[in-house]
Amino acid sequence: MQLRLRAQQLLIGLIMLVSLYSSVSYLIWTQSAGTVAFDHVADWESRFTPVKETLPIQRGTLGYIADWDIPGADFAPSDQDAEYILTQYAFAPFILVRGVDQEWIVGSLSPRSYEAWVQIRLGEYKDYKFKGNVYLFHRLDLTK
Amino acid sequence: MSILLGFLVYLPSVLAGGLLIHQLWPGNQSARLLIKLGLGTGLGLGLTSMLYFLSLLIFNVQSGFLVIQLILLALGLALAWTNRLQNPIFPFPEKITVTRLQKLLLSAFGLLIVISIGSYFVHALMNPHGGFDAWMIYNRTARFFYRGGADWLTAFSPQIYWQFHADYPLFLSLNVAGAWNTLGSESMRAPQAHGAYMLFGIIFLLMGAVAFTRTTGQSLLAGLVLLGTPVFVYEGPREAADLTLSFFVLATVILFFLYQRKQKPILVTLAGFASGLAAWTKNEGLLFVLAVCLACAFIAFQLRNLKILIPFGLGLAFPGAVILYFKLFLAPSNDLFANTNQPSLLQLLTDMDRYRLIFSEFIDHIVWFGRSHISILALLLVYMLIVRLAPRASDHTAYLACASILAVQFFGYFAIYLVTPHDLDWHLRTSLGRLIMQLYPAALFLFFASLSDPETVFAK
Repeated sequence: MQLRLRAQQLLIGLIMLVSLYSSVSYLIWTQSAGTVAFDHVADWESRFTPVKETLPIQRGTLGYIADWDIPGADFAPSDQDAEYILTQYAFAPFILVRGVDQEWIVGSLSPRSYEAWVQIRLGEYKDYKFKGNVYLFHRLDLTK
Repeated sequence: MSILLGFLVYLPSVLAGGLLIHQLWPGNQSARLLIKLGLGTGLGLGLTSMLYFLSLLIFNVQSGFLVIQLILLALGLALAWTNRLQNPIFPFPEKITVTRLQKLLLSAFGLLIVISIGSYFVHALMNPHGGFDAWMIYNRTARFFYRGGADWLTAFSPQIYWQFHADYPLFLSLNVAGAWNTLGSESMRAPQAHGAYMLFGIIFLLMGAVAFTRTTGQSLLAGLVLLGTPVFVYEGPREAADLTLSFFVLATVILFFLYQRKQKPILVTLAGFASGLAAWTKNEGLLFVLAVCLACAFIAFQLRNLKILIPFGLGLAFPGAVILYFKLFLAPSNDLFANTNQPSLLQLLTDMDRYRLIFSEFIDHIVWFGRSHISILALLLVYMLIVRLAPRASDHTAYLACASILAVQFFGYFAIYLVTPHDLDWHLRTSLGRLIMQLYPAALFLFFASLSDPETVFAK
């Protein structure tokens, strides 16, 4: 009986200690998980600010192409996925649809992918180049 | 300054919620007031979100958020003033004394609160835009509303890629867009403050309910375990809706439990309302409404009192109607049910490898839940074996009903994984931890409400 009582009291103490330990461990982990000085989402968004300023429309649907749309290009699918999501977040309330069916197309392409894209679509688009491998393409023949 | 504004922008809803619940469920014992403060946080913010949705639909004007909040607050204050003699808030009727054990637990809890607030702010400052789900779903939708102005319905365009979940309910996105309209800018402190309110709502609600059904020491122990589960502190600054859903699951379970004790129909009405708000928070909330309806029918049958279905239905009616309208007339199809290229249902249901994978992932995630190096489940199981269960015989129906809500929800999640059209491994990896988190505070409540309390243990 006495042993059981001691075990109960010890366990209550253990719960307190474990909770505090978990909490302190998390605080320490948090500090190693990033930095207050750099916001990668804001950084990604800022790359597209000049694109939005160039667009002659304020609403609507835009096309979106990235390395994963270029045949033979090297890319990590999870990175491309995250970039698409971040780009849509940056462009809201525009809807970003993957592909080239829209009049205006936003591109996030490596230099090699851009060169490959230009070879494929020579003369079909007017290109606007921006810093950070960001492009805006305007389809010239809207009947296609 | 922007952090303070982020908190202030939601304060009228939180206060209004607390004051209105105080009128609906009178009494000012300290534990009861703590429950009402917790309930008021979520129900106040939920009511504001729904009314803002209706004002957008009817008037198509974005600036109504503050007006709705102020009207609700004025109503709460007016009722509190009118009924101040029959239903005062202060002073507490009981004399509050704190034993040595309670002081010890209180000190540990206080320390944990300070550490958790520190972690919260460090994480929030590092990730102003929140986590992946926030950019993908909630803050993105809020941007469609805020930046879209009169064209806010674009947020539900079927052109939006399925991964952005344009069909998700709007609780969080509307509150974020409403706060941005009030502040006049896209302050990311607003969604972070929303997360903090929901986190504190969960803590108040859990601790108040455990103190109400057990003792202060037990309530502090429950608070220690909850805050000692770092995933909760991590969820707030992620600006996603899982914490909010967690709140409504906990609120519904507690309200059902209290109804069985107090037999006040208003508690079932509030349970109906809270479950409706769960469905206004995330699609998983729709499954939760089903689970709660089954539990309500079970209680009605057990108590041989079918009349309780009426107050429950009344509570569910308003949020239920709003959700139905949203799902039927605005939301695009859900990705889980819209994909026609998936294998047949029979193929998925008879694939034993899927059962094995889902089962092993469930076990792994439950045992190691909480982002801690120590298994909380193992610790709580040992604690239960030593301290022993001591449920009141009269609470038998309440335990069964509340446990059945969680069980139906749990098996519902299992079934959804079985038939998911997405890659099962990816789906489990990206969502299971959050699904368990949604049920965790409610499970903690049932656990601590049924165990011997530390005061009894130390008195021996």
